Amino acid sequence: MCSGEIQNGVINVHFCVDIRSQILQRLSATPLHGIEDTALALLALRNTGADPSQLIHTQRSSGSWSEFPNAGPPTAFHTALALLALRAFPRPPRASADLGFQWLSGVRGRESHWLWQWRFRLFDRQVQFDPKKSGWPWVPGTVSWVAPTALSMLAHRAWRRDSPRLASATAMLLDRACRQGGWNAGNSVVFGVSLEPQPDFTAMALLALRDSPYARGSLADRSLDYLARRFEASPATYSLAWASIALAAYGHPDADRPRNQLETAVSVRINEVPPRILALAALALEEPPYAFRESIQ
Amino acid sequence: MNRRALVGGAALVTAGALNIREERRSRVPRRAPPRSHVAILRCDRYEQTAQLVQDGLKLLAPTIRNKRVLLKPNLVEYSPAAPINTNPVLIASVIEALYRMGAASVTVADGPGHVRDTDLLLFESGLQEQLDLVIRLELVRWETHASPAAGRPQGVINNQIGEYDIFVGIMWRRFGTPTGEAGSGTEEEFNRAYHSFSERGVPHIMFYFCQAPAPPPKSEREVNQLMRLVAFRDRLSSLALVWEYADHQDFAATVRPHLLSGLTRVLAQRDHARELTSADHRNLSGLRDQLIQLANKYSRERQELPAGDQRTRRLELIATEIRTAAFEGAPLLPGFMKGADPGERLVAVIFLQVTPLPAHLMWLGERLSERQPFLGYHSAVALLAAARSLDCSHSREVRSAVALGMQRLGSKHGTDRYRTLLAAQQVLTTRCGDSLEN
Repeated sequence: MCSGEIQNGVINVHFCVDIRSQILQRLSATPLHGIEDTALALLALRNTGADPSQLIHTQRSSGSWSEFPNAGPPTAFHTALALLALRAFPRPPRASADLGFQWLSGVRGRESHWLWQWRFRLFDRQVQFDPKKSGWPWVPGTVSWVAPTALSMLAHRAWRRDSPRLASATAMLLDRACRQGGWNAGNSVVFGVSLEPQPDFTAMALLALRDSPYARGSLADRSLDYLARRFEASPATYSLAWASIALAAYGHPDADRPRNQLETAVSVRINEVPPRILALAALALEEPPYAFRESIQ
Repeated sequence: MNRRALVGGAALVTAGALNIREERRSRVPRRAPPRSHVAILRCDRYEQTAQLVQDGLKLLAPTIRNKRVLLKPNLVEYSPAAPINTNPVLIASVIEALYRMGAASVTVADGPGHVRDTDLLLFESGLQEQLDLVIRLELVRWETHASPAAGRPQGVINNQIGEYDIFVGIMWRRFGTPTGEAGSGTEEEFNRAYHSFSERGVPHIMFYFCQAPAPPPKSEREVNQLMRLVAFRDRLSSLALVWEYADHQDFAATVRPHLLSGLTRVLAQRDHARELTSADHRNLSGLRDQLIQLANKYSRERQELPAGDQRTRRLELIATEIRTAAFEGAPLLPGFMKGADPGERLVAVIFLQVTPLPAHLMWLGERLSERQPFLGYHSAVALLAAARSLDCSHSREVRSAVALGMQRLGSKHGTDRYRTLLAAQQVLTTRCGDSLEN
């Protein structure tokens, strides 16, 4: 909340007092490194005249984005995130998006190939998942993971792009959910051991499933409860931000708890938190929190 | 060519190739693989690791002095059910041992594979807590921490020195040369430190003046230096408790206990921040609930009781209860400032009475337009507290907020709220000597 100015003709002062304003001020003055920083900062600053051209210029000729401009392999996670960021602007760059989605459509989890499906069925059985259900990998040539799959689904939805792969991606997320609810990075069982869910991946998956019938199922309920309970005593800004966004998107009654904790955590450490996390916190502290689906509201 | 010749030729070519390969191999200098020195010591309990790591490093005797060391502890993932990462106690023990051996710096770095939230992992694995316990004093001086660069010289030094926890100023007879922004480098550094202290409570400032006898000044320049020194000391004395030491030999004995108490203060602040960001989040949630109950109680009693002295006394009791939680609940301030209920905003106002913050002065000024005079009055009291306690460098902001409050009050000049705002203006003029017209 920013207070007004004094009308005495002498002093004309604005003081932004809430933490979100402080975050945005800091974000606009902080150098950004990498696509995740840039995309999330653009989303956070989208209503303050931010210019998306910086992000568009880092798109590769293949249509993809990588973790850092012109460095490292292209990744589905960063491509989807960049597409989500570009969609939030009044005149979204359609040509850039067409290229991006074209690249995404050609990248699939390695387990989607019949040979790998047999391999996972017959030999490589330390991880337990249904290889028939695949989403998006982090980088081409690897298996599907939760984060790139969830963000790719969100990007498709934000741009209203249909894809025959969305059904398989949804099935993949459902298949790889942890037994107690929530999601780990990839699989839920490795070497016979059930993995613990992680808050950020859980939030991303929940957001991706929000418009599906599974949003009202027991898996979503258990996952939301996990998120609501997870932060009894944690100051982790990144996870708190994701949890706040997901809980608010589902209208969970305890959505304010991680949000209040997030406010406290950011206000104590605003000078230490890296830009991508600051930006995510700013999105979580919006009213209502930004749910990565702006265009379909 | 018959078959025998073909086989013979092939054998010859193969032998020749093998010979060439063997000869090339012999030209490569044979080097013994480098040997790593490893010490394996038995450890039954993690409490023993500090001593054990030191013993192990003594056996290996690596050259650590003035080296920058990076530790990669294999931070993977946290599970309460199973130990996965290197035990944080062991990591802290290694850091401590390395510093004891003269390491210039020790950095702990890792990139957890598929956990993207390193903070969460640091916190839940207990490593953050251990890292916070590692204390190391580093003397930061321009002579050792600055290097040539373009720009105003003192500005370059300020930038290169960066953040620090404790400011130790020492002066004897010389004041120094003007820097363009202050009378001397020391004065500018003090100004910056004091500004930061007023804003954020850091650094801890300790200033010393040497009392060693010295011959009378020999030149007008030396007289001028002394006069500026005296003026600076006068100014300093109004802002901080300054200390004297008898002579150069006495300095170490004087400063050591102060340094220890300063360090305790810095660590307490760090602990406080850590508590706020970690385990006490739970307590903070509890405290938030209590404060919301008090806010509700305020709204309820204000509504149910008839206006008058008795109601005001009851409401003051609630304000007092809120005040007792102001320090502990400080991180909750942003949430209460945004509260839709006047009772919640009252909590924020009372917090700002206890700890005036320059960033929230205008918000307090706005509160004078609240329908509830009790809330407006306490906002005026908070502005008075700000006028009394904030550094004079903020006097303009306090005046602006007071002016805003008066504007919001309109013609209600006979109220306690207006009188309190007037008092705030007077305090400012007395303390800081300026006025709105300046």
